[in-house]
Amino acid sequence: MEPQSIAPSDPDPAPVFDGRTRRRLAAAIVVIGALMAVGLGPWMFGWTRPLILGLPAWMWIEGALGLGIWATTAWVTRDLLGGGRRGD
Amino acid sequence: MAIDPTATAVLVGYFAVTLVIGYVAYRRTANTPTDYFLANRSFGTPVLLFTVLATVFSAFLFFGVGAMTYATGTGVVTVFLLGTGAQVLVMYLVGSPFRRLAKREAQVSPTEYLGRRFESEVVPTLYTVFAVLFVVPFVASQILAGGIALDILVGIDRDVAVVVLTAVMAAYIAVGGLRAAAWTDVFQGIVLLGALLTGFVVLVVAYGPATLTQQVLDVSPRAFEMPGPVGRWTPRTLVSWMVFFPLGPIFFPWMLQRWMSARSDRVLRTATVWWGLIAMGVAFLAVVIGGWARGLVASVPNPDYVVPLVFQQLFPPVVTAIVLAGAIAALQSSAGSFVLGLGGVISRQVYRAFLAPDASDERESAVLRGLVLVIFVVSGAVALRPPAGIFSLGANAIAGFATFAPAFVGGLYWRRTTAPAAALSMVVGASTVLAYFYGLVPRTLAFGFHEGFIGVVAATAVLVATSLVTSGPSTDAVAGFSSSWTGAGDD
Repeated sequence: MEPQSIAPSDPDPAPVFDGRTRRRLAAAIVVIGALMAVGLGPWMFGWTRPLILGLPAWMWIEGALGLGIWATTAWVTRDLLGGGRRGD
Repeated sequence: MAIDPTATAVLVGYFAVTLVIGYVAYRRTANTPTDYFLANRSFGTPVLLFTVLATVFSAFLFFGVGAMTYATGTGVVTVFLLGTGAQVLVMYLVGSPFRRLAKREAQVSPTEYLGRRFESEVVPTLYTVFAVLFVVPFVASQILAGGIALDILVGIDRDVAVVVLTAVMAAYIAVGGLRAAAWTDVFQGIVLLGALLTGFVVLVVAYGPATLTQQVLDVSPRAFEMPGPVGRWTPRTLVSWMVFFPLGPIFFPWMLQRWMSARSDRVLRTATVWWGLIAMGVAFLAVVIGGWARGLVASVPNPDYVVPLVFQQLFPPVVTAIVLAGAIAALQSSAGSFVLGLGGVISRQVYRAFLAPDASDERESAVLRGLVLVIFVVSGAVALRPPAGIFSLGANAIAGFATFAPAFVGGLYWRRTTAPAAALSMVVGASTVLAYFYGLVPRTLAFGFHEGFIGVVAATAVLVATSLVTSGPSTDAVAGFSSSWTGAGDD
């Protein structure tokens, strides 16, 4: 399947779902799954020392992992929409 | 309890603004199903963002998450922080092809997608039936939460409050349709976010975060540990939530409607990505407030009301009224959208498909408005005796709709998916969730996992196995589906 041409002025550009994007999507899903799995770790190790706002360290670590998952999603959906290849 | 004039004034002002927005939306709404249900597929990023935000953040978040944190510790935060980003990815991967397909084939309801893809009336009918079973109790819990909150905090009789809330929601949704729901969602979303931020800042300034945390530890030393003071957040529970939480909300009728109403893929992508970031922040605030409440309120008659009670007991009426308006906004926006989404599904799948295939647009729109009123009345009646607490009802709805994911995703991405497989997958998955929830199957047989996880696994296994042993779908059935990603037209 050929990549679709993404014109910046197109008000409703179609997602690009070519081989490269499929590989990136698969990689993103693996990364997200790995970050979720790691997310089970902080409390298992008992990281309960209070940090910011008096809340335990594990809550902030979960927050950082969650931001990582979100950033991965933001990156791959931008690529699907062709935003990552405007400079190509 | 005497009616507090300040709180009442704030609430009356809130209701007045909501009704005015609904009236303006009504004046802009044409008498066609596409305009009534999808606002003519015209939503830009801000409206789409706020309508999804306000609808997802129901009393489930405002009351339910605080109550769950109060009762079981802060472990629930893991679900929101780790699951929301994955939820965004599912939103886009489902929402994008779904929106393109709906636009190309002039669909206004998810049941039309199911009927078209599976060339069957059974699959969309099953979705409709199970949607009623999951949505009505959830909407009822929203109405009841508002009724009791008004009773406790403002002194309005609970039954009267239930009637008032139901009437206001029914009025602006039945009249204005999705445009009214979405526009009021923008207003309600701002009120909701403002209320949570106000509550959080007021607590921090008044007490100091270290003091708040220490007060909790004094009465519940394991509140900030895992698996929590009552052992709720075990690894199996969290793994369960990581599976069904990113899936469930995407397949609510109203959520699928939102994807259909987006103006473009760019709008859809931008709104969902920013929604994810805001959602994580808001859920974090709700958990922290609920966690701190453990040290501020020694006991409550019902954990569902711990968050508003914190503010009612500790702060002046105007602060309480703002927080209460936020809570009412949360539950109204959610209940309204759930009812509208369910009404659309029933009208398309029952009225249009079976009763009056040749009905005019005007006639169908009138029927839709009537259905919305009926669903509100039924939900209001159920609100008098809800089957569970707010968090559990919300979790049950999320888990139930998560079991539809295999059928929807299979239909979009796996050509081999057959109609019998989709139907059986829905029946097995949704029945599993309902059987555990209503006690027909003992929870000991869940082996520590949440029923949503078991339901999703069962639904997936049934979908794959049945698809492989039944005859594949016709060429017509799958035509256009693989190309829905590229927008290149039918195969």
